[in-house]
Amino acid sequence: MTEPGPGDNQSDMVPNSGGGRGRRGVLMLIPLIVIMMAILFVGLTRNPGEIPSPLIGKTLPAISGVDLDGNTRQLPNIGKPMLLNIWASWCSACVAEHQVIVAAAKRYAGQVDFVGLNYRDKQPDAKRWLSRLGNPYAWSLQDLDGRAGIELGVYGAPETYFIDAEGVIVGKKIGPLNVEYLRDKLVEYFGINS
Amino acid sequence: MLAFLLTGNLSAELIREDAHQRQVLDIAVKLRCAVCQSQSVGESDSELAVEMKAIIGEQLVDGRSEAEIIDYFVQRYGDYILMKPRADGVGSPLWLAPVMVVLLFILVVGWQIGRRAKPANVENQISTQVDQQQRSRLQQLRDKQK
Repeated sequence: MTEPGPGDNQSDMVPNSGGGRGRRGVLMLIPLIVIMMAILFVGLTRNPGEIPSPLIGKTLPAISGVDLDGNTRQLPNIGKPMLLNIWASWCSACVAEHQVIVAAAKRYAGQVDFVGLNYRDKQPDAKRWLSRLGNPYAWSLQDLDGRAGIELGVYGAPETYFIDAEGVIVGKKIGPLNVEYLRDKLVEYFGINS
Repeated sequence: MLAFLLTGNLSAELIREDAHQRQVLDIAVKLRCAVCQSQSVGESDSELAVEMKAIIGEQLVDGRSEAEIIDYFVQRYGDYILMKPRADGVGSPLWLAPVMVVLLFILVVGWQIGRRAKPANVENQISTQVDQQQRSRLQQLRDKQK
């Protein structure tokens, strides 16, 4: 027999060419489907309640007002790392979070200032709430109409801003803090251990 | 006469007020109500939305433009606050993607039609070519057998 001519290969390809094109089309779709599935799964693991704040890396907006005891107060206060916690007596998630903040205020006393923003609350209700659950805050600014909250991009209580000694916002937590999160972030943002 | 002037002034005041309200709403429907997920500030009566509408109203009175007011909220809440993603910057792929998909589809369909217009011709050529090659090989084999 002579060596196989080019005709042998071609005769094999002819009946397949139609099917091969279709299969190649399906194969081309697979990476596309994989990419779309990956995007979907990443999207599903994300919490729609956690939106990064555009204020991170910026100086805390200047806010002045009156605290729960009637003293005039001003933000940002420079000199020491600060946690600005947005809370309200009507906020049920704040109750659980409050234990964490009370404990942390004792543990980190002198290293971090804990300041409250009493968001859309009534002063007597707020004071009663603090006397019942303990007051970890150096002071709590009253935000009766929620304007200070909007200035800070607050969605609702509880929320917490981590502000460094220069008055720059370095982090934000939407929703209640827990012990581990607070401990980790104080190390990460301020290098505070213990 | 005085009464007429007074009522005239009053209705002018009302019309002005109405136009102002409409302007506020025009801006408010472009902003997402942060606490009610898929509603706009314009549609919501939540406390936050009411306060945001008040701020929009005040800033309009101060002579700020719509773009400036929307920017005020974006600076505090981020692009999330916009009901429609921005057409420039990071938002642009969102707007371009559907256009690209349609263009790609047209391109692929056009290419396929272009290919399918020929195949009968091409296959005929191939098969006649093959026939000839096979015929000549058959002839060779026959010659060998002789």
